[in-house]
This record gives sequence, structure tokens and C-alpha cells, in this order.
Amino acid sequence: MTDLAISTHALTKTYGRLVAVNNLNLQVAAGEVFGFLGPNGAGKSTTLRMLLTLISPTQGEIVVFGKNLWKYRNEILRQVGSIIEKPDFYLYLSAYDNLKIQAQMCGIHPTRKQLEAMFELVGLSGREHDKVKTYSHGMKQRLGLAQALIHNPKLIILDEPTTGLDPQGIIDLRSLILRMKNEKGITVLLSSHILSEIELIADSMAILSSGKVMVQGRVRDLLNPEDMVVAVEPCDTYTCLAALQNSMWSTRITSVTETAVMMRMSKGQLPELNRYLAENRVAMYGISFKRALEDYFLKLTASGNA
Amino acid sequence: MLNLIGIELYKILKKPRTYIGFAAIAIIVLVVELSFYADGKQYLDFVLQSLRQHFVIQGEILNGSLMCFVILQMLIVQMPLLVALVAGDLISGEASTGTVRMLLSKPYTRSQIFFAKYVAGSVYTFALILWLGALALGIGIALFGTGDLLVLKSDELVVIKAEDVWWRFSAALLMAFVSLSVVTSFSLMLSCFSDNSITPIVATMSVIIIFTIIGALEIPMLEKFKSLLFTTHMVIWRNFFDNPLPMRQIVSSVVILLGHIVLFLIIAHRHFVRKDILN
Repeated sequence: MTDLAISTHALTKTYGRLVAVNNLNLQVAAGEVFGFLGPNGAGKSTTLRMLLTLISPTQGEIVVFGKNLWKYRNEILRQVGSIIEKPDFYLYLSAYDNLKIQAQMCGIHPTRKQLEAMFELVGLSGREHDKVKTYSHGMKQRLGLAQALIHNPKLIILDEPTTGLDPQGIIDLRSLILRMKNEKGITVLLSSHILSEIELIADSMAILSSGKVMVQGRVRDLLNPEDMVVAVEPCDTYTCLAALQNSMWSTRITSVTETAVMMRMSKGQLPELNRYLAENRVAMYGISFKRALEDYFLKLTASGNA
Repeated sequence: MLNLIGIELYKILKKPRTYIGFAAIAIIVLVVELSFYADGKQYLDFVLQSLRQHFVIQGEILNGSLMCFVILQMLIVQMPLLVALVAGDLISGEASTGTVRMLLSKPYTRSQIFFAKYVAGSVYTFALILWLGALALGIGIALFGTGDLLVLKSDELVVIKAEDVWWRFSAALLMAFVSLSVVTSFSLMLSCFSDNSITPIVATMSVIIIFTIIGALEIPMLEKFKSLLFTTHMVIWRNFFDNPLPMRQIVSSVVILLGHIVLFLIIAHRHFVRKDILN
């Protein structure tokens, strides 16, 4: 059995009548990058804040490294690094002082060399003695990561860590996360509302909506190319529908709109469908396809932001 | 815990606003002492004119002790603002910059963090009082020398011998510290309920002004209520320049001030350890 870094049992948080997190059962294996996905307001941040004891749950239990979080709070938090929403600093202090304070708050007293090595790791060498208020957003994000890593945590919780980063910054962050996982075996819990971001980096993921886990599992299983949502956009829907209904493709149709026929199939069947439609002289504007989970998530995000 | 207090003190030391109070005190003390040095004698002669008709006053009345007493009288009223400036920011300042998230997800209990902040705030308050006393007395002695302290009250004249002056000033400053600790705990309490540092500072000053006005009103109905206001007891330091010392009054004021400190800390702590960090 895989060791679990985090598991939640029936975790619930309510504010009056509003249910922010509803009966959440989450399992994050040790040493993996876990993507926590959901549209805005899905309950991701509330869950992450409960994992850091910033918010107390209304109900349920959180177990981290096999121990109850509220019972062994200090012992557990000593092994956790985090960035919630955005990295926070004392702007009137230098980056060096901020990092030193952060380390001391975690009970360690790093040497100058150790601190400098950390600045080197996140690419801030030479700017460590500047006041943080002079830093750009990207530099603050890097410093935030240094803060999360300075005490050699076993678990890192990152809430939307790529927000505001430039493309190079996103690539650097991604490679740093993978390095931490591969070289140090650190578990990373990463929240995002961008599926493609999670797909590139995570081993497992969960999709949250309205405080509930909708899907949870291994990324490679969930984002399976064998299960595609295909949108056929014909010039004339009726002609297209007639051609499809008299064939083996009829069972693949999931819905029909004025402009498209929606179908489900594996990626490998797409050329075959294309050929069939051409042979039956069905004129088309195009065929587009998405993986089923991607399609589901996009719909979720659209309704969440509406 | 000591580690945490050290960190909190370091943060206070590095904040520019910390030095506003020290600078303001230094400027006011210098202005007052130099003004008295320039033409204080004439002013004092004018004030003592009526007294000289009944008493023979020998020796140098205008001395370091008198200057220190005068400055304490003047500045002790403004000190709550300087204290609130730092104490009101201790928790709300962290909330407004977001560092409260970082702070409260560290392996320290919220109670430890709360009391570390209170201790650091108290150290700042004590340093401010010490700075005021040392500067007022130090510059006063340097410019005017030492001597007996003549305290002119509304209904009596108290003469305190030079050898008695030191312990009375020490006790008065300690008492002023207890008084200002009420302001520290009050500001800290308001700081726990706010997400910006301006509100606790303004609210602290507003409450002090309102209580001081109520305290000055001569309305019989308010008499009993007035004795419960902490502002009524904040001027108790002056009693250390009475002869004999009104010990009963001093002890009763200390008990009321300490009661306020405990009450404000209990309310603040209760809220701080339970609140959800949503911002």
C-alpha cells in the first residue's frame, strides 16, 4: 500500500448556510505531485487553508503523514512549506532577513552559506540583500518558493503558484517542482484552475466543484486519449445526422445541437469517422476533439465563472 | 517562545514607524529644555511671584528634576498615540500584508504567537517610557543641574528633596509603563479584530479621548462610572510626587489598570486563537 502524505475524511467547512467544502475525502500519496483543480469558488483555497490550520473545519478529519493534524499540529507543520494565494513577506525587510525569519519560525537556524545556496536555487543570487519592496512579482514568487523550501519540508502546499508569472517563470517553477519531487522525494500539493498546467506536472489529481470532489485519480488514467469528446460541425446538420444514424457511428452520438453533432470515441477512431463522412459526401466545417475530462472541466470552469 | 519574541522584536526594530515615537519625544524634549534654558528663569519668576510673598525660596528651582517633571506632565498625554502606532499594527499589520497566513501556518501555537507579540509590544512601550525619562532627566541635569523638586499643585506645594527624586521618578515611570500597558493591550485587542492597522490606532485614540472627556465632566451620575475608566487611573504616576504617598489610591489604581490589561488580553486572545484566516 502506498504511504499517504495527506488524507481527509468527510472534511466539511460551512459558513452559515454556505457549504464551502462538502464531505471531502482526499488522498495524496507521499512523494507525488498532486494537482488540486477546480473553478474559482470551488473550495480549493478553503481546503488548503484547513490543511495549514488557518481555517478550522466544521466537521471531519485531516491526517498528514499518518497523524491527526489538529492533534499533532506543530510537529506536522514543521514538515510543511506553503504559499497560499500569494507569497507574503515583510516588505520593509530584505529578502535575506525574510528568509532567515522564515527559517527561524520553523525552528532552524540556517548558516549564511545555506541561505545563499537557497537564493542560488531559486535564481535570486545577488539580490538577496535588497528590500523585498523593490522586487518584481516574479522575484517575489521565487522568494516565496525559497521560503517554502528553506526548512527542508516533506510536503509543500502551493496555491495557484503560477499566477502572475511570465512564461519563463512558469517553466522554471515547473522544473523546480519536478526537481524537488525527483531529487528529494517531496510531496507537492498544487492547486490550479488550469487543467493543462496540472497535466504537465502532476501524477494524480482531483477536481473540486462546489466543495465536492467530482473526480480523483491518476492523471494518466483520467486524461485518457481513449475517451474523447468529438464535435462534428457539418454544413447541414440533418444530412450529417442521417448519414451517421444509418451506421455503426450512431451509438457514438451523445447530443445534437443546431451547429454540431457531439460524439464520444477513442482518438484512434477519428480518421475512420473522417473517412466515413467524406465517403458519404457530408460537407463539414470541421471536426474538433477534446479529452472527455478536459471537456467536463471546461464546462465546470465556465459555469463556475459565470 | 524566546525565539518567537526575538523575531517579533526584530520586526518591530526594523519598522520605520517604530522610530517615529522616539524621534518625536527627542524633538519635544529638546525644544522644551532649550526654551527653558533660554528664558525659563523669567517664566518661573512670573509663576512664583505670588508664592514669594508668603515663602522664602532658596536654591535653584529651575533644575533637571523640575524639567523632567514638566516634560512628563506634558508628554504623558501624547504617549498613548505613540504606543498605539506600534501596538495597533502588531496583528492587523500582518493581516493587511498577508503575512498572517505565513505566521499562523508555522509550528507555533496561536497562543504563543499572540503572547510573543504582546511581550514585544510591551518591550517597545517600556523602551519608549525609558527613552522619555532618560532624555528628559539627562538633558535637564546637563543643562540645569540637580536640586530639590518643587511641585506646585492646585492646593499645595510639595518639596521633594534631591535624594528622594531618583526613586520617585523611577516609580513614576514604572507606573506610567503600567498605564501605557493598558493602551498596548487595548490596541492589540483592536488589532485582532481588524485587517488594517489604521483602524486600531484611530479607535484607540478615539476611546482615550472619549474616556478623558467623560473623566473631566463634573456630573454626579458619572462619578462611579469614572472610577472604572482606565484613563482615570493613567495619571496615577503623579501621586509619586505627593507627600506622604497615597498608597491606597496607588494600589487601587494599579489593580484597576491590571484588571483592564487582563480583560483586554483575554478578549483578544480568545478571538485570535479562534478566528479563521480568510483573507
